[in-house]
Amino acid sequence: MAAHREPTRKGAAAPLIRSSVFLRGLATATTLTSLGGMTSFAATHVQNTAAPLQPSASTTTAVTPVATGTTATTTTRRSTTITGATTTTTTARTKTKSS
Amino acid sequence: MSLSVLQAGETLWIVARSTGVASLIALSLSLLTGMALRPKSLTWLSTNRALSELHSYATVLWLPLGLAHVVALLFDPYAKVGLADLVIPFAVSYGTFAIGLGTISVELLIVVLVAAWSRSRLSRGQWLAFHRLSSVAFAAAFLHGVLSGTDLAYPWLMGIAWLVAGILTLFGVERIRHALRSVSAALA
Repeated sequence: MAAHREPTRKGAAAPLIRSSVFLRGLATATTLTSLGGMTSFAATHVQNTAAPLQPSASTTTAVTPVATGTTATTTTRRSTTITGATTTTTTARTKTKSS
Repeated sequence: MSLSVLQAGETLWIVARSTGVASLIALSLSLLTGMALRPKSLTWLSTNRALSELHSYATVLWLPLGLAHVVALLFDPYAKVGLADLVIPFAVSYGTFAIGLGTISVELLIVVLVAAWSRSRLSRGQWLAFHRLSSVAFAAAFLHGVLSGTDLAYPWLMGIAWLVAGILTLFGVERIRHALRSVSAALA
């Protein structure tokens, strides 16, 4: 086998990016892209039920306007949900004419 | 609560979340370039001089984003974070530990920044002692994000976050090994 050696490298390989300005631009672009991406993602995923903290989940107001129906307004992290049975009542329709 | 208040709160909430994640990314870049300088771990990517300049420049990226994150949470009616919570850690009524870590991180980063700005007045040993707090600050910020972040609860983002944390740990270990080698070489 012929003894063929590659020429000895005198220094380390040239770095991929030599320009400091380009490197800073790359870091800025990475950060701003993540900012923009996360903003649009957060805007479309306002609430995450798997999130470890739900500070406003404890704010629950139970409203019972009539004896036959129960409506609960629950204000969670970013949404207001109204749950309850829809019932028709006849007593609440009375009109009183004041003279 | 009126609709406009809800919408304003929602905007603040979105800003708080996006700036929180983006500042953590910029802070990761700052830590990565800082730890890579001495062992020259990233010389395949760029020159040490350019990396050092990027390390200094990274403050311009994470600082405003971090400030925006804090300010947005202060004004967000749902977050219930007050001015006192920026100073006193572990005092928030919910997520006490997770949010407290964020406070610790903010306070340590302020110390690191003040030390960096007054570097000429400090001895090298003093400056290094303060500067090394940035690793603790980052760890606190990372855990704050993992334990309290709404977005870091998504598996894909959680995966990226832990991958970045793993890379930073490797660079940290390399940095410590380099420092130990330097010490043993000096003693020999």
